[in-house]
Amino acid sequence: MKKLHIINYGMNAVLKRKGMLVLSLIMSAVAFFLVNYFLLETDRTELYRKAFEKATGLDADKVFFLDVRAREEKTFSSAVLGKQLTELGLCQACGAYREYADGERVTVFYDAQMVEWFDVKDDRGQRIDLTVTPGQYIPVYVGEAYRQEYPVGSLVTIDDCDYVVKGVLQQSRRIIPDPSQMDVGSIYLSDYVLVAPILSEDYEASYLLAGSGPDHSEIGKTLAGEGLAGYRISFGDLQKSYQKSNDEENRILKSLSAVIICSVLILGFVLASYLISCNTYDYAVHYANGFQVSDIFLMVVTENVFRLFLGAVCGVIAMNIRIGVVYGSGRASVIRDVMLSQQLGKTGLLVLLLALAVGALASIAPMIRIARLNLTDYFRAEE
Amino acid sequence: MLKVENLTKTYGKGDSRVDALRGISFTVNDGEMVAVMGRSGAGKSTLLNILGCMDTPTGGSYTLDGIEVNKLSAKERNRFRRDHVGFVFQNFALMGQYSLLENVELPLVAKDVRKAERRRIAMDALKSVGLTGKADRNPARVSGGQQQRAAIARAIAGGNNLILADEPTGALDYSTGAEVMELFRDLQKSGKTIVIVTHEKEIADKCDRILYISDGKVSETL
Ligand SMILES: Nc1ncnc2c1ncn2[C@@H]1O[C@H](COP(=O)(O)OP(=O)(O)O)[C@@H](O)[C@H]1O
Ligand SMILES: [Mg+2]
Repeated sequence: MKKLHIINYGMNAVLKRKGMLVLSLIMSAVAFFLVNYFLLETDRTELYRKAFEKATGLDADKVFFLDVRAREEKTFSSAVLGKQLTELGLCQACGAYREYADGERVTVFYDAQMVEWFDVKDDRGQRIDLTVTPGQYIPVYVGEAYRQEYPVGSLVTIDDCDYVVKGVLQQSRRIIPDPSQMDVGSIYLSDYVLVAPILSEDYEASYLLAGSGPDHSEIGKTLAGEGLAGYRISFGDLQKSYQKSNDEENRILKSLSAVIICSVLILGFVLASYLISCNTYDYAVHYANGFQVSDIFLMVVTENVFRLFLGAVCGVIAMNIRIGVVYGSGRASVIRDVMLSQQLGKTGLLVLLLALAVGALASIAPMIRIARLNLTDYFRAEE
Repeated sequence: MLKVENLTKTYGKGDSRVDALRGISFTVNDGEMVAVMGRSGAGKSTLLNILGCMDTPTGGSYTLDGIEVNKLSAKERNRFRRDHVGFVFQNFALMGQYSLLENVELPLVAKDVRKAERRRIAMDALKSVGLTGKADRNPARVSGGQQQRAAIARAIAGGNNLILADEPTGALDYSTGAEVMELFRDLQKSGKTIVIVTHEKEIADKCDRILYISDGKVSETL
């Protein structure tokens, strides 16, 4: 490109004006941080979907989500879930892990009436008529704790119903709820999760069930003790995310983010105009020393875009730091990893495009200002 | 050769109309050093800005190096200015965020000269004004005389033949001003054509010729 040297020079000029650079970096970094924040927070669909897929290895498109907040039953949320599912005819059984006082751990299945069907471990229990076609294997996923007992590929026959273990939910791949949210029955993938099948033609994969042994508040305490901030992810949220067509909340959040983005545009516009108004002397000097008017305009655009781009990069870095701090390391890493990759991917690109757009837009006012200015006035000698 | 004929410049309209130049004609030969004198508001800066293609005359003609500048389009005129004129201002017009060397490089950036080449030419220019050791200094960290010498280095770095200076010694004390005038003499010896606006007779006397401007007209004598 013919004017590449001017672009290069314009970017250097930005780095040379240090005070201005710091000021504009702080302002645009805050603005872009906010854009990122709202983009990430509003685009929860993607976030949960990715986190879910990463945690389970399942294709989220093939999974049906349902609100399973167990408000009335704290200890056995999975039992409540089972109730809901069976009432809906989506599921005939769900598994949960129960730990008895004497330390014995058993897996139990519940039906819609919350009647204990049978105990997997010692193969006792009431007979329940499952309507699954005999001979058909129903895929299930097991938690870490069942890895030994039910390795991948193993078949489990419970009352004429055949289950095939499709996978193990890895310990490192967890979705841990915010401990403060535990009481409303949000889901987490723990060591002791069984995934029961959904009998629906529309969905290939299984419904994911929450199953937990210890009382939720106990888990909350343990998590808090380990210093995990956790992340709120509940089936309720997941479900909402998937009801894209008539999701009022999503629409409101989207328009909110649009308002934020527009505010940033205006903020950038005003900021850049302000910066330039301090700067016209420099442009006059450039003009007097052979810069063409088009060079000066290109410099204005380059400076604005570059300054905003640097600010955007700072904003993205700040956002990453926030994610790191809030979502910590270790157990909450699925959500964090997904958020970080989103940062660098989609939002990173969007922020860059936004910087270009705002920078170019913000250059209009100063260019008009410069065009109307008599640059020679700067050099009139006094006698 | 620089030649203006019946040059006029009018600012504003109606009641606020100012006839800054009312028909000015003169020639400056290549390699000449000419002073322009006149009282404040006589139109000296206006004339210089027109000669430097920073401004356009309202009427008359201006020819430089065989080109009729007043017939050029705005874009062509800007390019012509870049390739033919170097400016020196009373207030030096150096940029504080750049070193002296970077300031001197400016016209070379405008001409898209490569960086290494730019450095070399700018260093040569600084050397010719005796500022080799101060190349990396900030303008604020050198004296006024040194700033003006750097500004002169910048005016010649682009390699243009016509140097226009508006009160170049106006912000300097007498002896520093005299040093700067020595520098202009040296430039003239190297073949530059120089027009210096000044209101100091001592400065003007160091030039080959003096043009007096009053009431928007020019004369060779007071
Ligand atoms: N941009 C302008 N608009 C209106 N009048 C101007 C402008 N620039 C200069 N003038 C007027 O033109 C006359 C000549 O100004 P100038 O060339 O600066 O004089 P000098 O440099 O000789 O002091 C003055 O009366 C001044 O007020
Ligand atoms: Mg003047």
